[in-house]
Amino acid sequence: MKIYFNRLFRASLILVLIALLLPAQNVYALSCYASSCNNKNPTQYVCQNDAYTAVAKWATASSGTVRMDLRYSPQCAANWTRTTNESPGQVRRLRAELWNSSKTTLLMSYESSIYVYVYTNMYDGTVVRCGKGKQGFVGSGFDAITAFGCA
Amino acid sequence: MSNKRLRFKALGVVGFIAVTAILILSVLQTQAAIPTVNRKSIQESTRNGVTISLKNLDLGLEKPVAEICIDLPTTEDWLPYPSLQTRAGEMAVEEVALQGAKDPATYSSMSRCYRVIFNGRSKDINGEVTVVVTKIQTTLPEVVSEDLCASGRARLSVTSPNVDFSCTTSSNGGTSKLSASPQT
Repeated sequence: MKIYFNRLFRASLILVLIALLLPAQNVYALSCYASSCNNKNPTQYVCQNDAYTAVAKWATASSGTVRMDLRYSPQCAANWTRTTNESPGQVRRLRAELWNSSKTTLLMSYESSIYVYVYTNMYDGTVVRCGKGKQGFVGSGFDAITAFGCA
Repeated sequence: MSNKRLRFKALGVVGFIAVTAILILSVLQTQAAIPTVNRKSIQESTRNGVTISLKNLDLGLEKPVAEICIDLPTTEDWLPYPSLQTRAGEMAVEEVALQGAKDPATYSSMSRCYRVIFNGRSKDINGEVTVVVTKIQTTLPEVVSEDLCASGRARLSVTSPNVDFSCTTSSNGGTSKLSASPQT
């Protein structure tokens, strides 16, 4: 009986050590799929780990060049939109938008004037989604607006 | 009927592998009809293990549309940066769309094709045109890890030791802050 408990203690100790050595994101990473990803942040889920740019669109105006990435995670079957200031050095007002396939319904959006890139939360990517990126001077309207990019 | 020559050149890489590929393609354009590509002359070129090819160039649409295929060095998310050079000037890229973007087979393969739309009018093109891919680069993840940031800082310090930057990522956004110290 004493040997049994000794082995059980050692096995438990090994499991605890393995858990402590695992990176935090692997321990706490959440998963979702398709519609269960709606309005969830990709960085708080495993979805960002295998994300790809399905479509990239560019636009240039007085505020510089802006790039919109329609992102897609195969693991999560979810889309989101990322907007990047491609003329960094000056802070710009950025907005990322995710639309439905007919470009009539805005599904997700996020806007900020402090980042080089911004991204929306996720939405079900099992059907075609469209993204749009906008950039402008801080405190002003948007002057660089990409066309819709869909996938 | 005019005969156009199209040179396709891919130069350099931001990321991990340098690429320089030069391809020559003939484009036949009829005066009043849709321009066509002479497929016999489609070429591909390989540099440093990366093969780039121009499969098609359509000047019959409102905007020039090209199809390029790349044998990438990894299955990471690579984004090409093409442009179209004409006698009247350079047409910047407007869209790069990964073909089969939601097909899992696309992401498991290192051979991918992209549909490229250039920001200009096809009817304005006259004479020789050149498709140039200035770089291909891996896209940044939504969250730039400390390791990735440190790697970039280390590379920058080699060429610009007085310049440094920090990376900040937060919910739904990220930024980097440049700093420079006076040179002694």
